[in-house]
Amino acid sequence: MSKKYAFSRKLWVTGICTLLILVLVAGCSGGQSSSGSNENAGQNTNQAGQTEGNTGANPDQAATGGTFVYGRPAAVNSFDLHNQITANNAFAIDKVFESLLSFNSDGEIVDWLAESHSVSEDGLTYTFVLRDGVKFSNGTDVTAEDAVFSLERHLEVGGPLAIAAKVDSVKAQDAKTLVITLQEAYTPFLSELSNFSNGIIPKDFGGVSEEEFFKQPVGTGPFVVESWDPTGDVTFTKNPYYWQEGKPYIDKLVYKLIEDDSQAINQLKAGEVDAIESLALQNANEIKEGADTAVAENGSWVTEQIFFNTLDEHFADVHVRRALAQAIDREGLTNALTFGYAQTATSLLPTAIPYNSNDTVKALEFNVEAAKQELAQSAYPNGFSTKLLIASGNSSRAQAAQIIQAAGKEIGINIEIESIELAAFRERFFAYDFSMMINSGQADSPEANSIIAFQTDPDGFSKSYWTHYTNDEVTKLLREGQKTQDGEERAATYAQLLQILADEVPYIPLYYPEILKGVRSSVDGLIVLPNGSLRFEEVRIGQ
Amino acid sequence: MKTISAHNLTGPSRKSQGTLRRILKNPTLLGGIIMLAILVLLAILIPVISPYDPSAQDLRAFLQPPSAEHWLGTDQLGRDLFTRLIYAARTDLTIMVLAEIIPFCTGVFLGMLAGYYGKWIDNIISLVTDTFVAFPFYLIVIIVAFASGAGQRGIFITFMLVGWIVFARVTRGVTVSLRQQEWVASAQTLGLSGIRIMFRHILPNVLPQAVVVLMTDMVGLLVAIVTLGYLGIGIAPPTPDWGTMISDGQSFITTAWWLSAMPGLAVVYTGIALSLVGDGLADLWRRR
Repeated sequence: MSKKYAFSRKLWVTGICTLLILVLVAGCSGGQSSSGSNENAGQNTNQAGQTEGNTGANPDQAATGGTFVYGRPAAVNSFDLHNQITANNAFAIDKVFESLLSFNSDGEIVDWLAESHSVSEDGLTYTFVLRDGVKFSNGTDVTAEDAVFSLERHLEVGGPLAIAAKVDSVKAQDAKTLVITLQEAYTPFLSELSNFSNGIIPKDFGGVSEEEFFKQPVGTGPFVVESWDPTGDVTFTKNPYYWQEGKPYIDKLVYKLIEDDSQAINQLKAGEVDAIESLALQNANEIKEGADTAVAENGSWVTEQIFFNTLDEHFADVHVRRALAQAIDREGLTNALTFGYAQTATSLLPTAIPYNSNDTVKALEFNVEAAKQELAQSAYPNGFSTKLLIASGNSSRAQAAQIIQAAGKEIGINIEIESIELAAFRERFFAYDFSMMINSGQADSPEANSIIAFQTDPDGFSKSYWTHYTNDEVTKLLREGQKTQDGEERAATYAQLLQILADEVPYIPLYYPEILKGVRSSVDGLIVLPNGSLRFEEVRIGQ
Repeated sequence: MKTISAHNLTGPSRKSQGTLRRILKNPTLLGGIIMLAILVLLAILIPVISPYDPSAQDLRAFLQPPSAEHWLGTDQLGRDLFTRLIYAARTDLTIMVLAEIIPFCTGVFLGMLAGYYGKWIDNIISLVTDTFVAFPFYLIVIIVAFASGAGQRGIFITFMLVGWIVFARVTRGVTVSLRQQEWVASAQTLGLSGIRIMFRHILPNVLPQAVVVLMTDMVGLLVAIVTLGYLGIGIAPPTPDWGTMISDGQSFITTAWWLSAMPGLAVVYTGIALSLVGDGLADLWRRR
């Protein structure tokens, strides 16, 4: 008998030692794989090490053709552009369908399928002239009738990115000219038209049923769906009729499902994928310094925030929210968590969005004494206990939660961290079942209204981002901003609105993270868009 | 295994002297005890040794490499790693010991009961132990941790449920073989009650075996506590714990490997110490 237990004791020790060795080996092999193939990277390293939003094509080193494999954490499960919003589908839809307008890597609106556009003085009539020679991937010409059909279907469907403007009519003046009239002015309209959800599809789905169409989608985009597994990978081939002549340079694009982030990183290092979509900030330097990997980055449309449930007994009190906002060292937090890949937030809007007013909005500053005084004015001068909800599996948010916890403790707010699985997390906040949470807000188009409407409209779909924050002055300014034409007046409206938000803090903007993609150094010409999507048209794959 | 006679428990003073000498002559046991003592002493004295608070953050001095100021560097939130490592020893060892006490007592008692009385009592207890043994331990731990919410409570509940089984099985085995000894029969003929025979005469002979198993079992429990912490369903922050420390440091395994390796080593160290003590004790009692 004693032998048996001696054996099991040894088993434990051996087991633990094995585990330790495994960890060490994993660490070593990671180092080896990045330094071992130095010679491969050669001259490419330098130039791709600086890969920014937009690298110029380099035909000397890279040829056209080839297959580009992109590792992504979630599968594409629908191409129905009018019914989708999440990134897993959006960034596949925008490869197949294109809109009249689009935006570049700086977030500026550019004409896309439209050759030009004009807006009437009163902001009610929008006229678009289509480009010559634009064809769908089945070879038929794109006409204004197709655009009418597409927009009318979107108006009919509604969907998560519904057209918010009050559209009076959508008409084809001739084969190339589209005229949209509105009932009342809506300034964000152009930017909303640049969204993937306003892509152009063939009239009457090209003669097939709706269901069939979205199984074999036909659009004007640079790529065509070749094969598609809604729970796995998607293979695209280049669209032979693409209107930008000669593009895309690659023959095939594969979206490969890699759910686990660290596995994605390993596959990138091993060269099994050419780029990965999801790269955590804390892994960015590892990829940047890797011999044959690089980081492609761009300013984002994302703001990482702490959200308060303003229906919560404690956080309904503006003094409590202000106290906590002043207790948190946002700059230190950004520093510690983002490794230089983010900017500390001042207003709700990320710097890449127009009218962000980040220079003028005064956010509450980090000052523990002021925070204590602020709390003394609240209904809970002696502090209280509450819970902070986060989704598990996100290490930056887990660390941020601990910083917030420590900050709360300084002023007498006892915060318990509740870390739950992502799906459960979503269910909880959709049901307003939280006191405070860490989450992020993202614009879908380069428009101040995009984030602001989602986070301040108490009657909207999101109920002020599930904070239930209601302020009549803010709602009034929100509506005003939607109607005012671009210019100083509109800027002043948003500056005023953002200042109210900064003073009443229904959410504490923490930082604006950059968009990071892990890329093989051999890749050239990749364009990172500020919404997190990529343009592959000019990509060339070197050796 | 050779059973130990109950009758050699004579003269307490001579016995303890002998024990001390025997411990000194037993390098395995001595090594284990020294290793454990160092850890426990550190855990007790850490507030004196370290000037840092284990939860005090310094967001401007994060991820620093080891230095004279911070012996093991700082973590992502600028907390002193050495201080956290030792405070984590406090947390984890305390939970480990507390969670073992009740299962140990109930396990030994039920095992003796089953072994001594046999028949239906034995049948029932053996049935229960065999049933629990059929389930993988971690499956039960994780189910309970999810059901009762993350934190220490889950660990305690799980161990109340399943921790006693290993002790019951061992004790039962030893008791069954003891029951057939002549001195038990003579005690019975003298009219001593079953309970008295069990506690006065059988227990001292069963205990060494059980204590050896306890050491092994504690290693297992420690690993379970650390695993739960690693999975994020163990001890909640900001309380330092080796498991959460390993998982927090994981993102930096190639850049600051010590963040995860040190708490990992601490688990290995404690595991070896406990195993050495267990082995040493087994040797000691076998020779006696």
